[in-house]
Amino acid sequence: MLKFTIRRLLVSLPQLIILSLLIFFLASLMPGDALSGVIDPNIPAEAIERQREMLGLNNPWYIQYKDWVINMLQGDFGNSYFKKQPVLDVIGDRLMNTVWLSLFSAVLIYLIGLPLGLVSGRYNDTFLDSVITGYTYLGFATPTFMFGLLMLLVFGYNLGWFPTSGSVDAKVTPGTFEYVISKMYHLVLPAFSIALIGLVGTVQYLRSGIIETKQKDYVTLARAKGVSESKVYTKHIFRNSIIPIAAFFGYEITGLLGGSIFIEQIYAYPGMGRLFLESISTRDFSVANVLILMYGFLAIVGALLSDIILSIVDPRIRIK
Amino acid sequence: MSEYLLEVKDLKVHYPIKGGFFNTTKDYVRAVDGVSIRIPKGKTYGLVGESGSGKTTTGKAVIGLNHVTDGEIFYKGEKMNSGKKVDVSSEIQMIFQDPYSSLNPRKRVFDIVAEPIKNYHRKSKDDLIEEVLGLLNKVGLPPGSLYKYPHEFSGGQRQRIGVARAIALNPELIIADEPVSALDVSVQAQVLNFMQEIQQEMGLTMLFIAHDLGVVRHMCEWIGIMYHGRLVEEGPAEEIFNNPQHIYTKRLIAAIPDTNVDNIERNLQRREEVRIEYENHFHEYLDENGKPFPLVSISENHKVALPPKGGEQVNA
Amino acid sequence: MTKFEDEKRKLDKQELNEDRERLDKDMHEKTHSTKNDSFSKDRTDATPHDIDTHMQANPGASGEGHGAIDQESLPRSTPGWRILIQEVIHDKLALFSFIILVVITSYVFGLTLFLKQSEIVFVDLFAINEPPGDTFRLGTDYGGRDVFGQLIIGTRNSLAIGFLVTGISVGFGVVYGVVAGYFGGHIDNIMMRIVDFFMVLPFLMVIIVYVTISPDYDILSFSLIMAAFLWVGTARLIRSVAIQEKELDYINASRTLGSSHIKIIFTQLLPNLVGIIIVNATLNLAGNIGIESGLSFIGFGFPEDTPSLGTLMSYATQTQTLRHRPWIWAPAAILILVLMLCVRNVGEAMRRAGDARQRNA
Repeated sequence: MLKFTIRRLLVSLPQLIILSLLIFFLASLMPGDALSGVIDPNIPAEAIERQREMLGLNNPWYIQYKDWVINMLQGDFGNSYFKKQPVLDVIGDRLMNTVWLSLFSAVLIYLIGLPLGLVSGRYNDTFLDSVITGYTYLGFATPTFMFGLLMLLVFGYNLGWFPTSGSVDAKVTPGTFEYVISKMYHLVLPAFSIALIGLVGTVQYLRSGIIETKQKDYVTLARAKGVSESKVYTKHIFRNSIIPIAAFFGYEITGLLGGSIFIEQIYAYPGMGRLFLESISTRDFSVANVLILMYGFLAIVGALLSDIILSIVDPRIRIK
Repeated sequence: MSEYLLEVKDLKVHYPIKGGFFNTTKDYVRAVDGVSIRIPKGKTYGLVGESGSGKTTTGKAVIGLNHVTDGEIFYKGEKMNSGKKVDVSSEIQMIFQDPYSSLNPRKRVFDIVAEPIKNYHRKSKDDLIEEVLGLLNKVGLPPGSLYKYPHEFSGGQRQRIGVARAIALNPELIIADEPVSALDVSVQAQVLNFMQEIQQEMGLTMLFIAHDLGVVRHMCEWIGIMYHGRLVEEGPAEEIFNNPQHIYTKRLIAAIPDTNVDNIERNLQRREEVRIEYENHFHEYLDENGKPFPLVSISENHKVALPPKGGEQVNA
Repeated sequence: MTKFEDEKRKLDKQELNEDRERLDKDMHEKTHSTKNDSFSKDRTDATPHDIDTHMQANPGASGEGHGAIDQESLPRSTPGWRILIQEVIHDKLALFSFIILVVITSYVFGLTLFLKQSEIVFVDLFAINEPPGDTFRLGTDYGGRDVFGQLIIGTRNSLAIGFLVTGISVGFGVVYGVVAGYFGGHIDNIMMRIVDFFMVLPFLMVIIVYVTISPDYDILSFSLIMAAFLWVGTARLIRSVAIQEKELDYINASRTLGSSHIKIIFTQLLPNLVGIIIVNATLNLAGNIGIESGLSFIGFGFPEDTPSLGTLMSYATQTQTLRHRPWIWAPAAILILVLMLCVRNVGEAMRRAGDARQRNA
């Protein structure tokens, strides 16, 4: 187990290095550099040039790359060109907002998706199953942004049940109970918009997994031994059908993080995705770069997590 | 120029076992571990053994489907392998075990049988059709099969398509890898007889791989018996069947079913004797790695893998 | 993936049953005309007669045996991929979806021959945000542009980019996956590490950055940059199927018959993957249309003078438009939904075709 994890970590390391190289070069293609964020436009050109030399911006790329990586490892991600403050400060709360949104959506996906999949697989080809399957069909065909827009229109504007923008009410003070409630309240609509569309994959996976497992000989054997029908499902079928879904957990989380970009835009939710779009439209590439790096890093961690979970739930992987 | 069409000298095929932290090679699976075979022109050599004994690996190595770890393969006195790779030759062809997976389900019979011809000769479409129809006729399939797909045929007919494809290039050596083991028993004899006819007609040499001794006795002039990647006994078919020397061979031959009801008692008794001898002495026939010993000649053609010393006592 | 393999076997078996009757008849007629009496017996229990056929089939007479045959009249069988299409035709919902798709596609591509993109995106300040009426069938947007015209051109652009991205990404992914799967070993290892890397790239962001910093991009370059990230799914799928397929003996047989690796991959292996490739491409098409409209929606797809369905949707990000001017975005939303549903229906029907055979057999 430990051996597998360490080996898997070793695979992630080069991925991280290549990712950082890629973003480094992407950054060099973008207009602006570290100086754009800190200096006054009125300073004469020679002074800027001296400053550039001092900051090592005229060094060959590999030295710049090395400095960049070392700075990041020390927690220095540079300055925002636009907001003239450290990138990390700009990202700050935005990161947590997105993490909350993704976690809340993930919980909803499993809370709603697993029972639906279970019912649909157990009672396949019944009326209930056709309703659920019909829903997954529609869900697959609906882009998240469209569904989010519809939810916003119906529950946000027409019914007025939920707030239509922001992540928290401006009037409440941080740290109070009302603050937490307000945050949750703002999360409901975006999270449901993501989850109700995002769960169709889980439902379909679980359904086909259960239908497949149902026909396995060991399930027939369990029945023949007189195991009760509900136990057959909980102990034998569900446990085996859940494996691919459990293993997909890490990818699911990174998918949610990356996919929240549309929903954050629609609900004007101050998360990383919205920040990314803002920084792109204000040409604040220093922030955009760090965000891409973060998303990439999270994706690598997600893939790592998925593989480790898979090795726990499915011992066959470890042997390989 | 030797009198043997195919000579395999000390063939070894090893597969690495990967493991450990850095996925390094820990050990090898010695699928074939020093096998030497000589097949005279026009004869059929039967390679017999249980599953995993390395007989199929040997056959595939000869035709170039497996890499060769060590050893030499000579065809018509010419060395076929350099390093790990074995040359593919139009004169050596193979008939596969599974008539279902060995024919591409998306290809018509014409495409299947014409494939080798297209690879080696430039021919017009009409000539190709002509030639394929000739081959189909030879293996006893009607011309109407030409544009059909493999799934439209029975197992026996599929194997005939496989034979037609194998003989399309007028090969001299055919490697038949358990060609009938996937077929119904009722069809086996038909396909075997038909293969013998083709062999005589075309003067083919055959390396016949099988686990069924009855089939081998029917088909082969020479027999080699394999166990754990090595030969335990080798010689002319009649010699092996009438005078088996290795304990493993003895047990195999004792296990051949006999349809004569009168012999039931005698067979049962003989099998029991062989079984007891086998269980008591089999380990003495293997070296410390559980492998058979090198072959020793006990007569002009007959070779047996007897223990280096004290073999006589065990035998008695 | 073993499941797919099974499906295919079962598929073949079923085919066999269906064709058997016709086959017997064919064989009957054929054998009479060729005087090969040994085969005039019922083929369904061919096995017992196998032996006398080879006794009687006289190899010496082969020349005369087939010389007289009219090659054109030899029986031909249905190729495997056509079964897939037949299955879709039997599935009423899928057939309906397919017809809708064809109608929409030919309608928008036909109509755009007569519509000028520059006229439609022409800003008319005297006709801003007009609801549907006589002059503008579906009203106008905030620039006074005709929504109906934009819808037609937008659908065309969305479809075109969907097809283009799918074509490029699936084409590349198939070749990549089949090469990795066929050769295996170190080649596969290296190729799959590259795929793993693409899997963790935040591709939406990279595309957005590209769109922002690239001064001039058109349908082709936009499709290329999308395809550059979307081929990995297909590559992984095809590789896993190819790994199983290459273990089958017909691949070995081709090797011993002297076919080169390239020839085996493209003429032996690939034809057996056609079914799964078609299904994958169809499902990808729906996904790609969705991704493109999403990108246009947040303003990083095409510029406004090249509208797509997502561009019309993006007007809905303005609260007033979303709440009070549904004629601008609702038709586009419905069209996206219909297109995606139809494409998926067809794809799922093809996939189910395999499943159903599996259950019946």
